[in-house]
Amino acid sequence: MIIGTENYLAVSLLLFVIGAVGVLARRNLLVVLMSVELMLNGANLAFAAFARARGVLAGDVIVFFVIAVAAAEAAVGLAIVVALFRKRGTVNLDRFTSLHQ
Amino acid sequence: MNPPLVTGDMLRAAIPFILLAAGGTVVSLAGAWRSKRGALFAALFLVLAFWKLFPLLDLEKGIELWDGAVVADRMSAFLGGMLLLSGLFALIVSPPVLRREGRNRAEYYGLILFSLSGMVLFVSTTNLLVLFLALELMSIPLYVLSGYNRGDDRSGEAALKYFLLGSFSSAILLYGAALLFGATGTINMAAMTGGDPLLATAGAFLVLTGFLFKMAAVPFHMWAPDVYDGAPTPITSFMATSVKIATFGALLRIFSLAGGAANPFAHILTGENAAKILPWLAVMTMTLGNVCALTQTNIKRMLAYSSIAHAGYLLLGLIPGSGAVDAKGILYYLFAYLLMTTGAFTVVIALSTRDKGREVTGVERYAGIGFRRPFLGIAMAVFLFSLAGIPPTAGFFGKYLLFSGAVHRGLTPLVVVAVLNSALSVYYYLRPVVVFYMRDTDTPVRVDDALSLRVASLAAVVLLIWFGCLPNIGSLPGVPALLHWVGSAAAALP
Amino acid sequence: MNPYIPLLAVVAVAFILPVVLLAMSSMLGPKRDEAAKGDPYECGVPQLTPPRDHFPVKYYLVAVLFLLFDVEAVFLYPWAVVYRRLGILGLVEMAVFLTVLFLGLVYVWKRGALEWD
Repeated sequence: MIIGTENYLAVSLLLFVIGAVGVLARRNLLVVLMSVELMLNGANLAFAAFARARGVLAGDVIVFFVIAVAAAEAAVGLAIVVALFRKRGTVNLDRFTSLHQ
Repeated sequence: MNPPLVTGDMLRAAIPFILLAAGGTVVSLAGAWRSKRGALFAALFLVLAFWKLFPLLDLEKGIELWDGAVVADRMSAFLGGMLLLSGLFALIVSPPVLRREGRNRAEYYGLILFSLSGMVLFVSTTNLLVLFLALELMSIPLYVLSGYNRGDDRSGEAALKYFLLGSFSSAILLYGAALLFGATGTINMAAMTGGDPLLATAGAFLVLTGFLFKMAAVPFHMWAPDVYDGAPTPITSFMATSVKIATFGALLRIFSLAGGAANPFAHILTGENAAKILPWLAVMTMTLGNVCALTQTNIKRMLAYSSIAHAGYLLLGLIPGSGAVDAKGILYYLFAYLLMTTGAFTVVIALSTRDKGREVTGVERYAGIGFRRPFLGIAMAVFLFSLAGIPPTAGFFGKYLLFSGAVHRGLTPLVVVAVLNSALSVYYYLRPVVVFYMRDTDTPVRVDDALSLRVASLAAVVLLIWFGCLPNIGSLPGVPALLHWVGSAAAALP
Repeated sequence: MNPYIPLLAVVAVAFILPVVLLAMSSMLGPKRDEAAKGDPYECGVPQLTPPRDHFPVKYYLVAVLFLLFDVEAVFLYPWAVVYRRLGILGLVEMAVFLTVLFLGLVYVWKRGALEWD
């Protein structure tokens, strides 16, 4: 069986949408963080698939950079979550409401 | 023989970019040795970068750096200059606030430099990869900085909210970039041709959505009031100005990409479909910003909604109508917006006090300040008049340029809405002024008299009035130069 | 003969062998219930703390730092593959990259993030 670009694109879109829904619907901060990573990896898969289909290396290069950036972003995100957890003892988004007036 | 890989011109043009990134590294490192002079070191790098950026304002032709990934031209020089000015203001007004809390650490200033280097790259690239990297480089330090005030719960929440929505929007932009790459087979936005229309359209709109998030345009604005409110005020001021300059600067470049109709990316953003959506976005953004600002009693939240409204006015300049994108109007407006917003936040910093670690910035606390502190009162009045677009201030002239440009491009109905919005905004901009002068209380208000705060607000007042007298006295020194640079920066776009 | 038939044999053996071994040990081995057998396995050492306890935040810090420096190695592999063709400019650029990374390590070290106590 030959797996075409459309199939890869379908999976990447699925990953992206699952991630987006996760960010918007889930209340656990760690799950939300993972959902953002899922979105980035959806984009990564699309880049890799297109790079292969078109024979352009640029797409693969972007994947490397996105991996590195995602790590930096995850580190900062986790640091923020840990700082908040140490103060409040929860990672539930609905409990962070001191900005609503 | 091949031409040399690196020429002297290229090195000279690359120096401002390198200085900012190197400055961020050095200043952050100084933090590890507990240096108390972070602001000074950072300002040194910033001024040096400014000095090296200045000659680029008169470049004949854009210089391609790093294999064409970054373009140094008059446009990037002018936008870069504004970004550095915004950064300089942040460096000047931060130390008094940080000293109050005993957290005057060099890392704070290093992060500002890192963020600036990302912004300057962001407005100087037509490469999708560099666009994404620059976006993250400008955003990630800002996530950290908005949570810098550890004593205040709201600061941490602001960081969380900014991080979640910021990384969400970055991911959306990245997916859009992937689709654009798939449609056209290149990551050079300026060289895109042909391509599958469905993929390209979806990609272009996803990228645009990422930008709309960053500039806090309706319906992607909901994070802005909370983040602006919770972040330390100098960072709020820096974010409100520099992120807007960076996003609109990058959009200007993208909207006027070379190739016109042959370039699918530029074609979609300036084409029919976008022409149906963008005006609505502009109208919704300015109206919602102004209407919500009406009911705010906390001045930081009011200025946050006002910044949303200003994004709406600026969007007006991006709608091509019967002509092209109004680069001149947007650039001048951004300059005025930078001065008046920074100025207003500087006064907020001078007047803010803390209650159990929380910053208190309610308008009602400012009663009688106008008489007790004449300079602060006058300065705040100038900033708010300028934000409302009342002459003789740069805010008025910026609005005049932007709106008259839009009328010339056949967007009169939109301009009518924008003018009505401006009239509405006068109400909430004048309310703090009324509290300043018309009410009085016996409770003494503590005012931060730090020299740097006074210098920053005085500079903003002088510049705003100076450049606001433009239509009457066009011969004031410096004024023609600014207009010349705005014009030549706009002409540098293809 | 189909070249995949030996592979099939391997799969069959891989299934049968563990089943036989497990069955033999359950039939032939002695069975004694002790309290220690119900404990979570911690490398044979008696359990010190409840398994669902919080981890000290120090682990987290080390993990994040490891993640950051580890992921940056992703750029070294493609660079090493085309190293010769990049010439001196490639070497200089990688040197700059590694210097910045090293300065990051210096910062982390100096701030004391690598101290365990």
